[in-house]
Amino acid sequence: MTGGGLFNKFGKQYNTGEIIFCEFEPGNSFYLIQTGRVKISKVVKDKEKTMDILSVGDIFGEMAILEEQPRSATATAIEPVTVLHFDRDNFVSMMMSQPQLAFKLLVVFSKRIYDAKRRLMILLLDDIQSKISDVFLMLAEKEPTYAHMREVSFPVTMDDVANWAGTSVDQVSEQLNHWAKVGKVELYSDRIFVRNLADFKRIVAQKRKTEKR
Amino acid sequence: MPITRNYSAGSIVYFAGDIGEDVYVMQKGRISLISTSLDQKDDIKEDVRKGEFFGVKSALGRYPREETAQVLADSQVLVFKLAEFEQFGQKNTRIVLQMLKVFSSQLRRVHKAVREFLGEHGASEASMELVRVGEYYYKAGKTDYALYAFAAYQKNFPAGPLTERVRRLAQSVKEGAAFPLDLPDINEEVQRNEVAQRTGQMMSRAEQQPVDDYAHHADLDMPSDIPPALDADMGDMGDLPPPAGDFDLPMPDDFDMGTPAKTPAQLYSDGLSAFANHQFDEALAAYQQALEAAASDPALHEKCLFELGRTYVKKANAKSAVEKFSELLRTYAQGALTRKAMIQLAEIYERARDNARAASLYEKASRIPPQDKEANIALQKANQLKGQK
Repeated sequence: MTGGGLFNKFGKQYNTGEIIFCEFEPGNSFYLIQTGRVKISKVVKDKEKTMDILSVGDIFGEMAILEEQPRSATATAIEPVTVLHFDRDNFVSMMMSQPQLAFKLLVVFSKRIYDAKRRLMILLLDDIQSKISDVFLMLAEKEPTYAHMREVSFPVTMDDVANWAGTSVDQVSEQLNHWAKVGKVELYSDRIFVRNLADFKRIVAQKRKTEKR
Repeated sequence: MPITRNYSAGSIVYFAGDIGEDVYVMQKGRISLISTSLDQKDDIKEDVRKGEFFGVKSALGRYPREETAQVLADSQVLVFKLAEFEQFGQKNTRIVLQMLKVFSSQLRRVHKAVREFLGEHGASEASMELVRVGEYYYKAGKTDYALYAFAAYQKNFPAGPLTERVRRLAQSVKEGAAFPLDLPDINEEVQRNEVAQRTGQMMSRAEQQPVDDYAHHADLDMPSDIPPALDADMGDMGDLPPPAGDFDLPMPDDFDMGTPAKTPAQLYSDGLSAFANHQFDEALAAYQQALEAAASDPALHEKCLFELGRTYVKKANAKSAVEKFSELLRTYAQGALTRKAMIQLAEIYERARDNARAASLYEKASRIPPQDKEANIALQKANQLKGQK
């Protein structure tokens, strides 16, 4: 099938500012951007927060082919956008005709599995210190220089940390303020500075070791 | 081109924590993958089977290896560089699709665990959140988005507890009015309306007629046709034929919440014992659980389908038996039990006096190698039934 034929069958166009899907809307299709850029955002505590800006070749909404979960974020076109959209019915035929897309999805899933497992590892820790420490480790692990990192500035807020740790902001704030007092971290409105990442590695490693059967 | 590499017993292909971009296929020997369970409490050790890929996810996702691949006996593996694996994937979409299936089932399970842990949204909470997002957009002056969210609610939850609120809000947006300030709290409104609805449902349920239970029908009610040709029905990811060639699936399933749940193999074996004791309902339950848990183990999954079919035959539930055997044939075109499933199906049709269909199935079965006694009997049956036509 040619690109044109594909587009006729599975293509969709959105104008600047148009919504593609809304957070918490049930959904069963996912999208591949052909042209234009798409903003992924969430409403957190009465504020809209941009999670990502996607462009040509990017995939979004892919969780929908797994299960009919509500959308975890809102997708809007920030310029004129064309997408191909897939659902369970056309999924296999689309993949067979677009091998590079199937492969791309495999890569996306590989990353998502890791991210989700990593998230679960944090949640399963049972004390607030190790949870927060592990959130910072998770964020740092994505950097290629992770092994040698000491001082790190994380562009995150306490809300973000609480969200990843699956705990209340109050608890996170209490712990971080304590660490700030003893000089382990510095707190800013838009970032958190960690003085020695090795401290956190030690806390988490120790915790995991004692929990091991 | 992927290269062949030999490892001697006692060596290590890679350690957990290593960064590596190679993808491996087990060819011969014995290699074990040692990982830590997700709750970090146990070590899990699993042999790689012949033809199985390993190291795929960490190579593709570019994250550290999650397991150590330890060589237990002199082994030979095929090694793909990432770029080679990508090329291979472009030419073998079916294998990629099979992997996608396995990955998506893993992803679904991890996500489920995360959601359960966070106690996140059931459907009704999600619908409430959808309205909340719409209200946020309304207040923020993004009326298009607000209308979209309200319309999405009306479309997906036409009888939801917030229907009236959403109708009013949507109308108010369209009239260009400011956000109404006299709305009740959204949680309270949901609770109040849900109680009202539940009471209403209980009333209406009492009036319904009992549902006709298929199992009580003496006659066989066959689905309109044998499973469609294997290539014709590609609509559902669940119905993929197995990959071409002798590539197996990436299976090391390193996800373990540390619950003392039975393994799929144990459940399957429970099913076999129950079946042997003529406890068919227990057998069905055990096989069904095993089936659901064996999503990443095709060999066991196939066995479960077959035994479910056989158990339904014992229970004289022909319809369900046909469904299970058909599913097996759709999913495993060249499985270990494909021929046996065809013969079982043929026998069901034969008992239902559908000789044409039975004959065609016996004939198909007889053509599946090896040419042994089972194949010969199937061929005889086919000819015999054709003679009776």
